[in-house]
Amino acid sequence: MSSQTGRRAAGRPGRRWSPVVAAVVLLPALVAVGLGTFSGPGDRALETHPPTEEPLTSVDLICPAPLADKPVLLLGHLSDPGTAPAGEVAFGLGTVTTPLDWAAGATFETAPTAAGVVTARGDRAAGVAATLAERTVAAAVTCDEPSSSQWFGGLGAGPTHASELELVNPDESTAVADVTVFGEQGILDVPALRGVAVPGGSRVLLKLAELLPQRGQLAMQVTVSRGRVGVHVVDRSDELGQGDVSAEWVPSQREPQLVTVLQGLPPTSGQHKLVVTNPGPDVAQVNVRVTTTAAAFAPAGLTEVQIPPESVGVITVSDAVNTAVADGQDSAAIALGLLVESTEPVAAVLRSVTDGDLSFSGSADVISQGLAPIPPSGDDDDAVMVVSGGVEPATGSLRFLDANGATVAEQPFDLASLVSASFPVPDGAALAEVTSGGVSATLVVAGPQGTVAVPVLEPRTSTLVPDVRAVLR
Amino acid sequence: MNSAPVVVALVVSHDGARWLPQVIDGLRAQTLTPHRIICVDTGSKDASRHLLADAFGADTIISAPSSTSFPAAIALGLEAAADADWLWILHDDSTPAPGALARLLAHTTTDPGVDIVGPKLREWPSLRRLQEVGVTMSGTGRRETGLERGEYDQGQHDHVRDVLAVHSAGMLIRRTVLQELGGFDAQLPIFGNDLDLGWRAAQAGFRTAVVPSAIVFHAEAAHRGVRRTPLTGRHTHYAERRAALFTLLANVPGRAIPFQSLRILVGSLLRVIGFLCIRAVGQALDELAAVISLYAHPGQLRRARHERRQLTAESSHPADPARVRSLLPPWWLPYRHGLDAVTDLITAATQQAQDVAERRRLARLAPDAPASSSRGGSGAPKDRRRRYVEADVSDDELPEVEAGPIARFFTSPLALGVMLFLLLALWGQRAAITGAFTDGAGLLSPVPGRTADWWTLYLQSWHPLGQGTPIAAPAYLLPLALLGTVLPGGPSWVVAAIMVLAVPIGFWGAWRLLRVTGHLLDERGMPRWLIAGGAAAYSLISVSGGGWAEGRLGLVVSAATLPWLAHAALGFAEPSAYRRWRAGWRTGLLLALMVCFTPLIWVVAVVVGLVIVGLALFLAPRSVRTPSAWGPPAVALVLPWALLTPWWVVLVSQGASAGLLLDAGQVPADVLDGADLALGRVSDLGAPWWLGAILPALAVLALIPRATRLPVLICWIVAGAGTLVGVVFGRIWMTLPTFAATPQIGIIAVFLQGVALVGVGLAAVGLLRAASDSLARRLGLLLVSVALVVPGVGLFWSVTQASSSVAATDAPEIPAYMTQSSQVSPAHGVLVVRGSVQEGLSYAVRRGDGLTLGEDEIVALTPVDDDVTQLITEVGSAPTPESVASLAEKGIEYVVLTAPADSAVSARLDAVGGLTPVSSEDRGTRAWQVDTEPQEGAIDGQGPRWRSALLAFQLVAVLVAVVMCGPGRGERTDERGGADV
Repeated sequence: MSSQTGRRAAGRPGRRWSPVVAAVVLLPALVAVGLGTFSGPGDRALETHPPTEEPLTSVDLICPAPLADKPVLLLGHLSDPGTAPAGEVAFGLGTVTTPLDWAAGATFETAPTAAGVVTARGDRAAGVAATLAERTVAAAVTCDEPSSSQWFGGLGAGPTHASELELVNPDESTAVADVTVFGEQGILDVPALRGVAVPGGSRVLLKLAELLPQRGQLAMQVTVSRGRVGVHVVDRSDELGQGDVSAEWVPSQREPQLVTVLQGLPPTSGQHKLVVTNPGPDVAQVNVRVTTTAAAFAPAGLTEVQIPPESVGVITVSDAVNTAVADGQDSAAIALGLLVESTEPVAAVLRSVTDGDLSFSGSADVISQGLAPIPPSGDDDDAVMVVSGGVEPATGSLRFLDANGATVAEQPFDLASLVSASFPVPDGAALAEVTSGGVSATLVVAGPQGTVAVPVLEPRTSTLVPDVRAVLR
Repeated sequence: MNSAPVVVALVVSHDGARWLPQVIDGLRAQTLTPHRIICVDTGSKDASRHLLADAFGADTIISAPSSTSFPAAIALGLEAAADADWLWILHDDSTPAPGALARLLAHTTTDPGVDIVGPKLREWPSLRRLQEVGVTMSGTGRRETGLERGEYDQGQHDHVRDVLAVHSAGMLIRRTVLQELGGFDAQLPIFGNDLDLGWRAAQAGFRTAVVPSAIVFHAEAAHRGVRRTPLTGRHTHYAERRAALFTLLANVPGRAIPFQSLRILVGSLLRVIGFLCIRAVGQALDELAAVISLYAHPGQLRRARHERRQLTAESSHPADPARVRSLLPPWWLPYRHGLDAVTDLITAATQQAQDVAERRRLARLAPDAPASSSRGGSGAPKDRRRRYVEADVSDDELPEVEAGPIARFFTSPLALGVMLFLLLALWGQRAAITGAFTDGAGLLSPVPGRTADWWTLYLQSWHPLGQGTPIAAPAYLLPLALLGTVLPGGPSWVVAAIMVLAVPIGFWGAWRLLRVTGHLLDERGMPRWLIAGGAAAYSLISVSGGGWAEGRLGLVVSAATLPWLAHAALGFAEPSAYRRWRAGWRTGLLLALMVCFTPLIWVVAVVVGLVIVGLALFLAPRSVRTPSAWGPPAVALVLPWALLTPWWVVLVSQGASAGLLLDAGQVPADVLDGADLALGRVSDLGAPWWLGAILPALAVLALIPRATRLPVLICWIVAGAGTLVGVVFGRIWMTLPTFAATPQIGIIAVFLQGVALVGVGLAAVGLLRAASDSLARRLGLLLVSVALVVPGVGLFWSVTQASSSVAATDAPEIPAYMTQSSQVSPAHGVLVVRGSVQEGLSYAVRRGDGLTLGEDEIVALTPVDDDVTQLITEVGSAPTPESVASLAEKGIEYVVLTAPADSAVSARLDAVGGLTPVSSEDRGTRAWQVDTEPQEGAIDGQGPRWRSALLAFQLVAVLVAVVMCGPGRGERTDERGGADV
């Protein structure tokens, strides 16, 4: 049959373009075009699931145990003057909790006797800030929400320089914290600091001098693997034989950075040690500059320093800082802090001992709306708000409020790159508010007892509600 | 005995005019004439009386009413033959050979102890086939002749022997014995009375013998239903069966009655099933009615047994029971018959539709070719027939008939090659044997531990998955569960067997398909090595396309089934309408199986069917209009939906119709485009892409040879239809409750490759059949050489890469103690949360042993419980002890935040009361236990109650479909018709 067809077709060339031949050409072409132009169902827009913001109705701020006998817990809240936001505020730990009678006003004061948690509920929760200060010694610390990871530097575990780690668990269930200790020779293996259990509603105090007695500067990262823990570190300087024992809370840094601005230089000369922690696997090359109200400059005699991996480096900057501070008193370029630039992310803190007083200059968070209760100060004390911009120029305003929330003074600022500014705290001011597009600020109080630097935090006003969706597995 | 014994011939007639002339001739031609002939006519309405009267005289005729039974007629004759020594009984449809009576009587002389003698019965009109040479009865009431069906008489049974009974047609019996026995039993009006008589005679001590040298031809008019009387009724089978069972129970020893009664009941039920299997519904009902009728009248049996006891008691010389027993067949005979019947059924079922091409050709050659084969008359039939016969022995039948199968195997390079290919393919899939798919791989979920889990899932209308769901279980669970019930290792063996055997089964199916397709094109068919190459190429498509390694179970099953479906669909081209209908059911059943795994194939089948019908309307409009032409394809297309109602009806009623377009297994994240379809690729876990380009490219070239252009073009039309479906459905996004998916078009990628393969094969046959030194043949060889790269490289890739390419599963790691607890009850769920506050949280509630094969689709189609989402939002953002306790009300015992757990969320959960942190698998994962005991019954619910009715309907429908696919009696008549051509 097939050969017949062939003969027939061959014999009649006029019928070459029969329907079959047409189909032979068309069909593959159609199939090819159909498949060739079919590029799947088309991309669907990549689905993102950002969280939504909702007003904060509950916040816990954790305060450490007081250092001396006259502590004061200062609370500040941004609310319209004269109004009384609904909600409760209490202070305490575990089952021992005292409601605070904070009906109206922008600030509230109470005298704590032990470590505790400021619990604010309702409208009081959004935008509440707390500071624990000492009246008799120069020491203060910001009470903050528990954080999953924090860095502390400038610590010691020796007889003259010893630090204590204080862990406070605000919740019912046991929390677990892990502490990694960095020394000048590398990471130290301290089994007692791995998986530290903090029972619910309790406080655990760990003395480094007992756990890893040694000389030299230390740093640590505290991570919380289970539950919530408020972490504070107290550092003590004991000039053996001289009787001068000074204690101060060590400012924490949230994470290592390439550029760190340290604020809160004491206005008098003393010993200054810049403690830089390089947690990374590579050597960090660190340069230090002094930031002033005019510019940031590299002091003479300070060269680039190399910090080995996973180690603490100590840079003695006494001369540079003392010179800069002294120079600043005679010129317009007042030295306000240090700028630490590194090739690897590092955590840095400046530990100063001036006239027997221990103080720290730390890295404050970059804030857009910060709030800081102003600690009570004596007549001889000098309180200023130091504001530093970053690499980019920054503008903003600083507002001081009285205890009722009325504005006492308001000061706009315009900061050039890497320049700091300081603003004196006016009389009657109980609360400072910093509004800006990205500066860090520290309240520095210097007086006969010494210097206190309290970094300004940005209190949370909202909470993020995650987008929740069901999936198959 | 001084004088010759008096023999009276007794002819019983009833409407036997059709046969009587020959009967009369036979009687007249006897070498030994009977002394007298008595005819008993029982109310014949035809010319019987006249014929008998003309032949033997009116005075020989005893007239009786038409209601007279055979025993009564014999009794009348007995009365009239009081002078006879011997009675020779003849039916009006039995004619004796000339020497019959002489030889029977001669035997009574040589063996005077014999009381009843019977001749050898041969079929009438064939005259050569044996019908009976003595008869006995098996334990199941079966009339045992000891002969094969249709056995020719070659003298192989020609020895005189004692038997239990002889047929009444041609029976020579002492008158006194018949009198003493009381004649034939009136309870057995037509059938089986001779057996009963013989049995009674044996028990009374009389002897029956068969004398094969005496021959009687018998038409068996009543048995074959050719003659219906008021006594046989319309239900011949009923009458026969009842008579047989009555005979059995009336004559067996009393102590055997309880066992026999039970055995008959069970045996009859089995026979009913057997008759239903071959679609002999009437006979099945007759069988059932016979048993019921017998057991409903125990009085009849009691009387009959009483009579027999009396007869034995009064007998002057009662028989030795051992002698009677020796005349009965051995006990195992019924079992052997049962085995034979099952074997016959299986053989017939597997061999149907094998030779559609041959039957078409034979039909064309037949002088009275049916209308459906329009091209029958042309050409030179004789010449064709000769060529066909030559072709038949030349090619795919193995020529070395005299060699044994093992010798043939080891001397055939092709057989060895195929065996080597299959072994290598199995080696390539070794990962499946070692359990790579058991715990889930890629798109294949882990298998459940027991087959019972599959059955439960399939049969239940409410599933304890997620927060409880009435969504119907996927349809493919039924075949999987059936397979799991058969295989010893349960579900893991099922999945392993599928993944391992997909290649050999696909190979087998493709072999059958290519063989028949080749025959349809060319009388000599495809060369076997070409069939083997093509089958090898096809069988590896799902492996080299990446579907296998990605765990696309649905695609793998459907790819292996597709050639079987196509082979069954070729049955639509059968010349006989009966076979076309069978093909319709067979295709429908296979299509239903594929729809279970890859539902889109149904749409392809519809479009291809429409295109083919359109072409047929264009080319041969008349042939399409006959119901037996369009009916079978219609049956094939409708059958899947009729069979799968418990699946699709529920999905549609629950608003989950999207499930009708999802393949078996998890829904893939990636989608396919035109290039994937053209190259037969469904994932990147397959062989290099260019391997898939070879067949489509060759399919284009296959259009060039003119001789095979038309069939190749048909392949292209079919491919075009498949492409259309793929391109249309591949563009759709379906929104499922928790994600968006496209209809799964992977099977079309396989389909297109398969069609291309057939096209290339057809063109290759055309070229290779050309003259040995022609250019065409050389081009054909070149085409085939290039095409053989596909199985070659495919096999190489499969052996070296496939097993290591098996995708990993992404099931979350759940601590063992949680999975143990979650198996206590469905209410002990584990809430698995992923993601972060910033990027969003996703959750799933894991119950039992997690999502296993068959459960993915149910959960994917279940609407999200917004209350649970809201609750988890609360718990994830601002948890309170109350919201945490609500988790227990939703049947959640544990909360797991998978690594890396967002500390913002974990801190919140740590802070809230009512949750106790518990240990997790790794440090990045966080887990809590809900302090409140989970609420039992938290996810209980009620699915559609009417689904049970659908399941019952499905059971019946599947049974009917399987029976309708199988071989039946029609096939035999069909074949007989064919053999007569």
